[in-house]
Amino acid sequence: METVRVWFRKRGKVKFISHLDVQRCVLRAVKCTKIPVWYTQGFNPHVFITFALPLPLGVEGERESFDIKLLEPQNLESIANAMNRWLPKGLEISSVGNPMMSPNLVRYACFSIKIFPQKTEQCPNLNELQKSIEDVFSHPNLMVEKETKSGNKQIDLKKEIKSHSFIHCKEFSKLTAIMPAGNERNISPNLLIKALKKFFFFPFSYSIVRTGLFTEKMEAFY
Amino acid sequence: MIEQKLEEILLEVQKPGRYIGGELNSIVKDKKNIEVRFAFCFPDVYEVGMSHIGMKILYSLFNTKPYIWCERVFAPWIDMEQKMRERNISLFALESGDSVCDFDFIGFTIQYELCYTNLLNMLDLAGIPIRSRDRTGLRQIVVAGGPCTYNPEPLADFIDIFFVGEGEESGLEVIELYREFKKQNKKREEFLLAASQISGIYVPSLYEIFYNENGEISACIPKGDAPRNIKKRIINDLNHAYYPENFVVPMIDIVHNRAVAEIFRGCIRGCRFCQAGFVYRPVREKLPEVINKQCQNLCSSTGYDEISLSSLSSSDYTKIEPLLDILTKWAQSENVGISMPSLRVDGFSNRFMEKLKVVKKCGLTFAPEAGTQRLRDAINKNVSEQELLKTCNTAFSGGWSLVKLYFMIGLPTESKSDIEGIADLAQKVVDAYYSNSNRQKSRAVRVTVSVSCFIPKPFTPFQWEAQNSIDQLEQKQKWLRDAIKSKSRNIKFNWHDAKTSFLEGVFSGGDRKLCEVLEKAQQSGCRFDGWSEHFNFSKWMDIFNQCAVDPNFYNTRRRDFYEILPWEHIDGGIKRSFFRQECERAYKSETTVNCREACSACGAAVFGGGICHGDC
Repeated sequence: METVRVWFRKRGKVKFISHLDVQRCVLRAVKCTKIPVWYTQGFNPHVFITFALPLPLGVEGERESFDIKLLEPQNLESIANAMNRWLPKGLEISSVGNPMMSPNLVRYACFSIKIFPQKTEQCPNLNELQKSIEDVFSHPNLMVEKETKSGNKQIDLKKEIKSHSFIHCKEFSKLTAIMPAGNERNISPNLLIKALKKFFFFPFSYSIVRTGLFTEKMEAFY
Repeated sequence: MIEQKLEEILLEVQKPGRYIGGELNSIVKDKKNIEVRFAFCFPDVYEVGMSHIGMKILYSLFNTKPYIWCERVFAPWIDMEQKMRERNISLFALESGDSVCDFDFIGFTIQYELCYTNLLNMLDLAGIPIRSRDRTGLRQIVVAGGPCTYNPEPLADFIDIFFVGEGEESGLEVIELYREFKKQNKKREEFLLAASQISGIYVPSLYEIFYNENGEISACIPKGDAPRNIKKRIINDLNHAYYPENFVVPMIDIVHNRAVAEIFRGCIRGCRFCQAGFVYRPVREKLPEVINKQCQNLCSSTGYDEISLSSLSSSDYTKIEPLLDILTKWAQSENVGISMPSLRVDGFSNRFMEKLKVVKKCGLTFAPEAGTQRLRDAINKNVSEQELLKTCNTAFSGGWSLVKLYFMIGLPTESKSDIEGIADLAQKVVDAYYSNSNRQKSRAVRVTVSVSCFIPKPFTPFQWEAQNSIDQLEQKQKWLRDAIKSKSRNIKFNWHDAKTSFLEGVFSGGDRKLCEVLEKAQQSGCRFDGWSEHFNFSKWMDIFNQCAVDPNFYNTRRRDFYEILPWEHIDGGIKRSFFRQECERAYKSETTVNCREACSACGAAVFGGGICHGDC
């Protein structure tokens, strides 16, 4: 039995389905390909599958992964092709390889966030947009309310965000942020959006892409 | 541009996955090659509509024609509708994202009366005039099919064409006719007239209805060449009928998220309250080999790990054991489960249970429908208490401990003792469990009693009957609640809201005078009336008032056998005289044998197929 790591992208409107939905789509695709995979041996046998880290609803993913167990050795490239035939639009396997790290080692995720000011009367010009974003990050703290099962908590994003950078273009600004992720601590990029909404004087739209996962030492997860 | 606006609102609504399309097996075509665009609309949310087998069949069938592109449209939930209206986003089809107003056909499947306002609201959201007379040109042809079209009259002012009966053949014929007429640049009126000549097609604008002073119908006169009666269409040979090789596989979870195999159409029983039991006659079965192949196709193209065997009464399928034999042969090794809804009490034998155990074990559901033998005889539900208890015992010995019992209250000839009989019967099931020595000792039995309200339906022996008033129904619910309280605590009681049943009764027995009511209801914001959180009864009563329409005229009034019923010009194949005879037998508590035991000459033989001609 061989464990393989399947790398996939979640792009476009499919970002609006939940992690559980993605899991269902992937399981059905595995079933359609008829690739012999290991089933759990419990009362309700199902395909064994583990995802490195769930992606929040509404966020695209460039380098996502899950592990399955093959019962017989397979050509890894053909697994990718076979599965792509059975996945919905926007979910796409990019490669299949051998897992080199345990998902438990993941500590950070990198998000690329595009901010598009809406074309309203308050719409900022390029300089204003740039200044607004930089102002937000020059505050000594960036408090935002996080909803948890045990009630709402105030957290300071300034302390959470490991590093960030901006690029400003004509139509939008792109913010790149590295934030805690993994099974110890997870900070959703939506909290950052919430904070920006609080500070900006203009309405904006946004799109978020998770571009990769990293270990404690900022090694890329693979 | 729409894409951008849509993205923004999708971030703000519940379950945005409902509105994105792109599912596995959804069909995207190149518009260049398309001559007819068909928007197949389901007037409820995605999760409900995507569970509907009729839509899957017709979607795939229409798309087999290279010149047709059939797409899916569902009713946006309240939050989405609000955002769409705020941002001026028109109702769009999931495959192309194009506005529904650009389509040639806007087709609705109408499964229940309480979705009528959703249908109108969807037209409105698409920017299409809701009344047929306000639509012009050879485009935006609004069509409808499904069980509610057996009484199409409450929707007569809105729908251009109704498909009566099974739509596989007539659907394609109408689309083909449209294609020809479009090529020839013909007028909308010419098309509708020509369509009315196709068997199973009802064009309501070609019929004029006259009323007596008391509000009853005095005549229904066809205009021009329109046929006097519209006879339903059916597919006689289901073994060779089209069945999809794949289903669109939803990404979000839906109500029935599994492969569905249709094992037969129609029902041999003639339960006197049940519309489906009559309008889908005659029974037509599929061969086990055909079903098996269809199941294999579906599983390998969808990745589903569950198949549901669908019909009105699965255990009446004559070849159920051979079917389960061939299915389980491969299903088990491929980790595919088989589920069977609609089991009947008398169809559940020991051997049968062994097979079902191999497949999937869920709760057992039976529908005795009435609490006493006398009333069960009156409604022709040929199930005895002895049989029910015997079946429960078989099931209890097999490890089951969860039983659901379905009943109806407000049935014709019902008395208080019939209501109390429901509680007694449930108690007997509990007692049977504890006196069964083979039961699973560690578990307590759970008996759920679900009670709905009787609604007189067109094309049933009870079509002339009066529905109980809301007060009467609530009184009966209270009697039952009290009766159950005195019984075992293992009995759980669920009941349907009497007010929604009242409204359903109005529309199922309604005529064209209700069109105005529906239009006003849509304008006043009524939608998702079948969802209790959105059903606003007092608003509906206000609207009836404003329109000077008495709802009680349609449901709580007993109709005379000689009255011309609003659906009289629709012909379901079953003779009126048969319904009347059955109604009279009900009052004598006389049962009628099922189609397999003997033919009762209901009239369905006229279709020339199925059980009437010895085909199953």
